[in-house]
Amino acid sequence: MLFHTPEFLVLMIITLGFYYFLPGLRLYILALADMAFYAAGGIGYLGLFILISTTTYFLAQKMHGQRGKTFLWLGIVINVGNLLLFKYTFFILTNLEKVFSISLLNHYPLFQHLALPIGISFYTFELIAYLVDVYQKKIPASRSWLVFWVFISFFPHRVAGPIMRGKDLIPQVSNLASSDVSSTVKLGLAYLAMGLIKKLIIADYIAIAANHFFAQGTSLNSTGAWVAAYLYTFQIYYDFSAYSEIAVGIGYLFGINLDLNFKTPYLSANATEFWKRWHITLSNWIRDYLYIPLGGSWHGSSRKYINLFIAMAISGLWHGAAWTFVAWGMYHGILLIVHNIYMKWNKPEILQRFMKTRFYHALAVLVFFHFICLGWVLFRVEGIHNAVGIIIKMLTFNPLSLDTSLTIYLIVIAILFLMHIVERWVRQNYQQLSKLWEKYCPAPLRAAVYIVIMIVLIISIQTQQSNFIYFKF
Amino acid sequence: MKTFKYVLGYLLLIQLTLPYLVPFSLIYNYRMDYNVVKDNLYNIDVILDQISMQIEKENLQDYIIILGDSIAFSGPGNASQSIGYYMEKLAQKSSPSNPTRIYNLAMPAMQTGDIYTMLLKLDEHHISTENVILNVEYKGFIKREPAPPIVFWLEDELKSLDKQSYDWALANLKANNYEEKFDIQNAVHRVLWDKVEMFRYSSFLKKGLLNVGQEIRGAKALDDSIGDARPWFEKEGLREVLQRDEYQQEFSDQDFDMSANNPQVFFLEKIIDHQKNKQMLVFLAAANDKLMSDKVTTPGYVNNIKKIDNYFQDKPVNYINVYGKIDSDLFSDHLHLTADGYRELAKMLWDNFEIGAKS
Repeated sequence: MLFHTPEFLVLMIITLGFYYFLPGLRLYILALADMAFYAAGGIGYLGLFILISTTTYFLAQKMHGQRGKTFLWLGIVINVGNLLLFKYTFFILTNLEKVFSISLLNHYPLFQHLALPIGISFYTFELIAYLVDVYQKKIPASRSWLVFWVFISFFPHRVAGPIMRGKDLIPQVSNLASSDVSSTVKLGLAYLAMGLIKKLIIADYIAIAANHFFAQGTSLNSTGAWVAAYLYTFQIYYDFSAYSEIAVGIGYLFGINLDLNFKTPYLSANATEFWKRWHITLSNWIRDYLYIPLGGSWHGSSRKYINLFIAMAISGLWHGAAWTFVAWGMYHGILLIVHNIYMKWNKPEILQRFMKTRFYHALAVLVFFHFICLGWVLFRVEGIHNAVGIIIKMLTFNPLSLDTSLTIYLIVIAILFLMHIVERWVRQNYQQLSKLWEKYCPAPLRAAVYIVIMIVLIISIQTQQSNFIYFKF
Repeated sequence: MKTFKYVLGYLLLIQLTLPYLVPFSLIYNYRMDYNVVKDNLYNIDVILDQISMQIEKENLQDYIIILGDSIAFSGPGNASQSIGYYMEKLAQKSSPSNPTRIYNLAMPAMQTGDIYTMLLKLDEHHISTENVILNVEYKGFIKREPAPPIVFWLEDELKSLDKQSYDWALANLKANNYEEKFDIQNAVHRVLWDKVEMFRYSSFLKKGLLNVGQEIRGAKALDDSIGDARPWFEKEGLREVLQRDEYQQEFSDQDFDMSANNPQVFFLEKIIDHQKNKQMLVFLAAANDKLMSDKVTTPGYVNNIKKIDNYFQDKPVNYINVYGKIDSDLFSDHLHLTADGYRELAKMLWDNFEIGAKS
């Protein structure tokens, strides 16, 4: 069920209605709404989700005994096994067929048609984090199945995150009846509007142009390859951040605070900063439950770099069962390693002074932005061969042979980048802007502006419903 | 809270006034805008509502409804090259002070099941079906194995308007990959799209804004044509394209089953029954006999055409077979016509309808 469909709107409005008027029953109302939301994607998947969640719930309760570690690993194996089965079996079998020249898929045709349960990658990570946190005694095991169910299935974040931690969400879910919803409604609506604007007015229209360019594959010229990569760079940002902000907005409508996933990531000057601003809840998860358990930076530089590389490669694979995603993860691993080496390098004093200037920062942002764009080609294009073909076109770009027929796209891309800067400024000054807006703009005018936004959003909905990119993960 | 009250007030205002503020030409311009309707079939209801409002406002009595597929729709040309347009011109010439209004509600790919459903929808919207023109095509009578589905667009509408006919057609629909939607999903769409005017009119408002954008840029107004309307002999590669199975199959000379077991006949019977004691003109659209000469001259094909003629001659409808009545140079492909072709067809229909009405 997509966020921008009438079905979702109705489910949300009905749920909110009951939620506001029956505060004592909020937990039950959300539990049912979560089930309805998930069941819309398939009753079978709801059954699987309940089974996996309930198993994890009981295993976590058993972890305080002597065999806690066994139960922890059992929980991890069940969750990872579930993910492997649905998401990676086809990928594994196809690769085994290629490597050993054997026929496997013909013997197991089921795996060719296995559909991916909605949000499986996200709920698997959330359940694993919960198990580990309980085992490490960072949080107590939930004593209420209902609380646990709402924590894991809270519908705004179920399909594509944010990946929430038990310590942040379970206490909120436990106190739903007493939470003050009215204080967060305004903020919720603001995030909701921002997410819808990003999705319906920006991302979906960039997608049309980006798809047009990528459809040309390696027949693109160098300028076209860059334009395609730039457009997708913004498409994926606006699409995914839209989803995240809608999720956060809906969360606020229920008085629940979900984590923000993005902080204008394309203004990052290096890979380390980028991963603190892009898909933040995922990068925190990778850091806490993969990179640190692998040893983190405790065993010297070489081991740290290897751990970074492995963690990022797995992060890539988590996105999708294809080598292009693994390559994208490894590429980011390399960017992180290079940045770490660069930071450790004993730089000449002149360079150190230069690094403190604004010009250096702007230059670093611009250069790193282009590295990001190169990486997104791996993420977008099907097949390593095709992706590399386009990347080669990008790297062999000759400024003297700029295709001027694409100037209009370059202008649009510059505007998109400018919007990114404006977004950062708005976020930094949100409270002051909000006060000024309410102080100097009278209520009838404010209402008229909201109505215009509403109309523009409704008009912008494209006839062919477009999914969120991250829904497929 | 104050702002919220204003928002509610504005929404209410929009809800009450929007249907009266949107220009009729944006909703309907000599025919339904295929590009607006094809992706959101709920827009048909908006169009029918507006037509109904116009009929009531202008107290129209003798208007004609055209139903059918891409031939009656008059593809691939634009609205000003369609039979609806040309018939309006003829009506104005015939009676300048009180011209008969023509409403062309045909749509490409509509099958007989869709046409029957459209008649039921017209009833639902209180639009008279007293005067109806509809087109049938040779290919509609060919055995469906299983394509094309007997209801191409309006399966869900048929389900709610005539469950019995829907159940009859369901096997054919399912064989054509039709999936019955959850009723709840349909109901939600119905509630929102049918009740909230801002949602209902959104496609048309978008079209209006795009038109304004074109105007500001000094560009040509948006055209609703759906293809290349040049004559067929000017189109390179057309003969090769027509060699494809999907086109060859449209001229199959397999003997027609003219019993009610044929879904085409089943729904024609339904239509004829619905139009009992009303004025209805059915025309059998012609094929391009020069381009498709090897197909339309086979004994089986000729025999099948006779079967269609015989079928309608026994029915209480006015019927014309257009085969051989339009010069092959006026075709834009194997079936569709050029602007001049549609002008000629419109004249033929107008003359026949007037004659039929007088008789």
